[in-house]
Amino acid sequence: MDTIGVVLLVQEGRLRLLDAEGRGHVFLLSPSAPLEAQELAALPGRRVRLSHHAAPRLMAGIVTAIEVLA
Amino acid sequence: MSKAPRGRPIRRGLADRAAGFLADWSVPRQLRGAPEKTEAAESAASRGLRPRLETADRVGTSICPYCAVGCAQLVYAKQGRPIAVEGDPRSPVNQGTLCPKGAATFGLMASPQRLDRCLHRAPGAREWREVGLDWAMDRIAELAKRTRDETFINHLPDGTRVNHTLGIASMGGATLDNEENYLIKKLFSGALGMVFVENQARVCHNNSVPGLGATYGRGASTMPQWDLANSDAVLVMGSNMAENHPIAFRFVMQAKLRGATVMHVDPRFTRTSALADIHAPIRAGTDIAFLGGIIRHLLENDLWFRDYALPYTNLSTIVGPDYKGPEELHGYFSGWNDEGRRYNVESWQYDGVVVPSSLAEGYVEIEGFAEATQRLHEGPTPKDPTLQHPRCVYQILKRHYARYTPEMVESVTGCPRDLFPKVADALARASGREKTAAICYAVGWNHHTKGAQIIRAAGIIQALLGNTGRPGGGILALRGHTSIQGSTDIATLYDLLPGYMPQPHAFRPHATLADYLKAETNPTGWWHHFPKYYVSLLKAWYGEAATPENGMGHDLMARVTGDHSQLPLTVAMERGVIRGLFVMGQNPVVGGSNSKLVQRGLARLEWMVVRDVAETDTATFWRDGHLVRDGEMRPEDIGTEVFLMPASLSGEKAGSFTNIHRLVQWHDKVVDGPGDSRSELWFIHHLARRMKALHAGSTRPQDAAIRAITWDYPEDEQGEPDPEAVLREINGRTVANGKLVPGFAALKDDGSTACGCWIYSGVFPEEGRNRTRSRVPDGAQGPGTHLDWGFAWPDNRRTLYNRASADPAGVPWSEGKRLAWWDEQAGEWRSHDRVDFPTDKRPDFEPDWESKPAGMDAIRGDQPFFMIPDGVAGLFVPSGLKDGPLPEHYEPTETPVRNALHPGVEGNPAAKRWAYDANPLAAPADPRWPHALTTFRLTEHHSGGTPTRIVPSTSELQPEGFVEIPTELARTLGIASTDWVVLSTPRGEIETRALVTDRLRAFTLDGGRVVHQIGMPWHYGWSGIATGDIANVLTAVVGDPNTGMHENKALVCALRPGRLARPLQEVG
Repeated sequence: MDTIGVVLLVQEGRLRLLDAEGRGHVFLLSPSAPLEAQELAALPGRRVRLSHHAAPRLMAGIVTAIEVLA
Repeated sequence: MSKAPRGRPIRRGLADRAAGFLADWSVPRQLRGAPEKTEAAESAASRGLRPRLETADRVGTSICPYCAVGCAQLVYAKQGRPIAVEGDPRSPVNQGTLCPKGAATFGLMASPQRLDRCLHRAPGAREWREVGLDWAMDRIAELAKRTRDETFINHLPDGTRVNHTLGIASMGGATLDNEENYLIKKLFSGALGMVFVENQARVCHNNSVPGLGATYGRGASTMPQWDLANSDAVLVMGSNMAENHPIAFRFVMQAKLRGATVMHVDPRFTRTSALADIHAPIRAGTDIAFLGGIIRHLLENDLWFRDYALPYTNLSTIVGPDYKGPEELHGYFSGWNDEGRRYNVESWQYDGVVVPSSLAEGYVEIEGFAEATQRLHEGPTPKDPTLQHPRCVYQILKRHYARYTPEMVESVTGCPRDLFPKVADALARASGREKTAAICYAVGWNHHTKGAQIIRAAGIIQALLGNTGRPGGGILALRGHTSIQGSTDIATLYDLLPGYMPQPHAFRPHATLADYLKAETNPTGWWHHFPKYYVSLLKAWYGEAATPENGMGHDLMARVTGDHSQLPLTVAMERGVIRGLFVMGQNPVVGGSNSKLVQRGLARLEWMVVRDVAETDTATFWRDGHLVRDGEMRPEDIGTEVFLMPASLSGEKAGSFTNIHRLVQWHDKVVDGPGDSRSELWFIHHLARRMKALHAGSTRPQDAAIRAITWDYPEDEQGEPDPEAVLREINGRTVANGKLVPGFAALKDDGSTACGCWIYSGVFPEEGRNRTRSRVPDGAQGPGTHLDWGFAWPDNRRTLYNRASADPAGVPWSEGKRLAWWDEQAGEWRSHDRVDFPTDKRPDFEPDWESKPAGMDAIRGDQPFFMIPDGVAGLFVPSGLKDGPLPEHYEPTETPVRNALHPGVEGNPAAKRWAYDANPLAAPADPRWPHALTTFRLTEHHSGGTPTRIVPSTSELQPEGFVEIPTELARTLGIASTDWVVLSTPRGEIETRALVTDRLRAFTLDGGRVVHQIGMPWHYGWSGIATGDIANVLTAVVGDPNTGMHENKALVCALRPGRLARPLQEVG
């Protein structure tokens, strides 16, 4: 599943995204994602597309890929 | 799923990732001898991690802008912008913690919905336009002058001086700094002669003032919040403390961990209930029946603390022979005037003695009042220490509450008859020499037409049990706005001057300074000092213009002519009396009763100035409000000229807030607010300067106060007046040399001192020493009174009436509950706190009645409640209350059932009612409105909603309005959670989503009648991110007789599934 929005906040491997409808989403970077947590630090304020999937007993989505859109 | 174009992926190649893994692998480094907890444990990620706040170039102390717990915060900024707001770990209030609202403070400061420019809506316009700050200020000053000129009157036709205008009103203050409230009151009341000056304290906690004040002498919390940790039992009632004051609730939980019993009495089963040992459900609005049942239980079973209550309360005082209670007069107290719908209090007086009130309004309408009170100089009030006299307060209490049997309590409240005695017994077990219990309440006791008397009932219980003034004991009034205590102390309220002195009244003997002082100065007790405080206030306001010729400025003061509180203010707007309105940090369209009436009132105004951090529902009523939504009016039909001006938050301005327990704490200015944001201090200061300039050449008598008012506050380079200069004025000075006074004991009544608020005197005792900035908490070794953290009025005392923590001989009731004690060797009182008693007054001091003593000379050494003229707590209150000397159960004005105690007298007979076509009321037990409705608050939202509905995180947590419906009722009506439902009352209808829950329940009442309790949060409106219909569309303009406070906690409604019909919208 993909979600597009603006990254509001990054904390280590966690990030928070605001989508176009004003809804906030919380994500965790998957260990299998082709990037490291420290690379998230540059994302706050950037518009991105996140590829993610759900995980059992977790409200946060698990991010498997990130594309910077603007 | 997104159809946006592909972007630039962030990825690393496999080889790069493998190299990174090997570089980060700690085992080889450990084998090479690197310490496993430092270098060996590093990775590329951890090497890049830096403390979040490392980049801050500035940090300042602040106080949370939401509720009144007073949590200290640290605001971190970088290059002039805030980057984080955290709890201050040093604070003894919050110890670094913050609740969901407080934790969202950064989100509030940085909200994308913050205003940064002034907006102007011309009469009839459909949209805003941006305007400059100077243009807006000039235009506002021009409008204020024009309206004032057209509506100001010096005298009534009969020659009575009034010096006032009814044409301009002001709302707001509880979210503002003390210094801002002071200038608002000084400019609006002291200079412009406005009498409609109100703030949220009126509709939040105003019943606390007479409720606590008439009982103990001061209308404020008796204990600091942190002292709850020392309680042996805590009763939370009229409050959902765990959700609405969660940081203060930590202390309740600490008490529980130490073995205290926690009880929650509430219509809903909330998180507070879940954490309590006992939850007792009651129908909303029946609190006095429950508390009266406790009083009866304590008296009947002799569970009260005799050694404390006998000397420290008026239990043994003998009441005059004409007094009769509602048990004899079928629901009325003696003195009822059916035509005037009010009481004459003459029959409530003590035998042969008229006792003035300890409240601001000391004067009582009894013929020859001032002379009648002089008897207090001649000897103690009549007493029977054996308690056998049939007219002593003890016997009156027993007769009055004999009707409050467990069966009656059950039939009125719906609480099972075997449950409420458990609460009474738990309180009694936790009271006495070795133990103390506390009671915490909030607006659940205030928002009623008998709210002051509910709070009085708690005061009676705590006095009977000997808990007031002692460690871990007392009453905590949980307030909801950050400085709502401060805006009551330095009152932006129509009837109060700073320091709980009455605004002069045209129809009381207040014509001259001498008349006023004679009527309002109590012959005995602390309030005998009243002239010193009033004359010092006049000198602070009018400076050199305060001369003996004009009564030291008394002749310039505006006179009130009746009730000018928020409810009549609403009616006066709707009737066109008020033409201009200032709204500063308040949102009356959401928070005001009968919201559609409020909106109709706003639509009749000529102009309105709204100052807030974002677009509010009040500011946009002409575009988005119910009148427009329902098709009653179009924006073009609404002629109100509206200004919306961006305001600053704490952290963006400096000043002080006063919290729940009277603790005054300073907050720094750390950053500028966005764009044209300014503080209210700036706004009032520059409005005052403009008004003074516009009237500089005037010789008209009506402009004398504007010319006379002192206004010489230094400004910084941005034109911001110095808030510490205002605080110094509040503290007081010696006029001749300008030297700051060390405290209120230095104030004089001869015009040689000037003081803006006597109870705050001592807050700035010498140049450079702003005690609200003190930030030194006590350490782990105690004593835990934290005297060097902030400043608590009066005189930095943390526990009021702490003389009562010792027995009449001055010995602590027990070592475990030691707080104040008499040191015979030193000849003075000692305490870990500041002693709330004359420090050198011996416990065995007896007044010399031969000398006709006055003031404190007439108070014995064993009378801790010295603000009251006879020095003891008033279980029975002869003066100061308008609806009875004792709390009596009355149904809410709108009730689903008859009053089981006295059918025919359902509601409080003295309640204020404005029943007319725009404010229709449901008759008692009207079958068209079968359900009991209450309103409540959420952890994530704040009062009128603006400061949280514009914050993304709190809006996400509670995004939309809803109503809680008990499962059984929902099943009957075919309603499921998230369904749309319509709630209706005689005032209007709203639609919202259903939340079906077992947290609410049905009550089986008198005669087997089943009543369902419904509850609805009232924060929502159309503005902001989180929206919903306005609960206050449903509520009525009815008020407590003592304060004019509204009754939004208990009313009746109808409920149906579905949505509202809407008029067809124009398409264009």
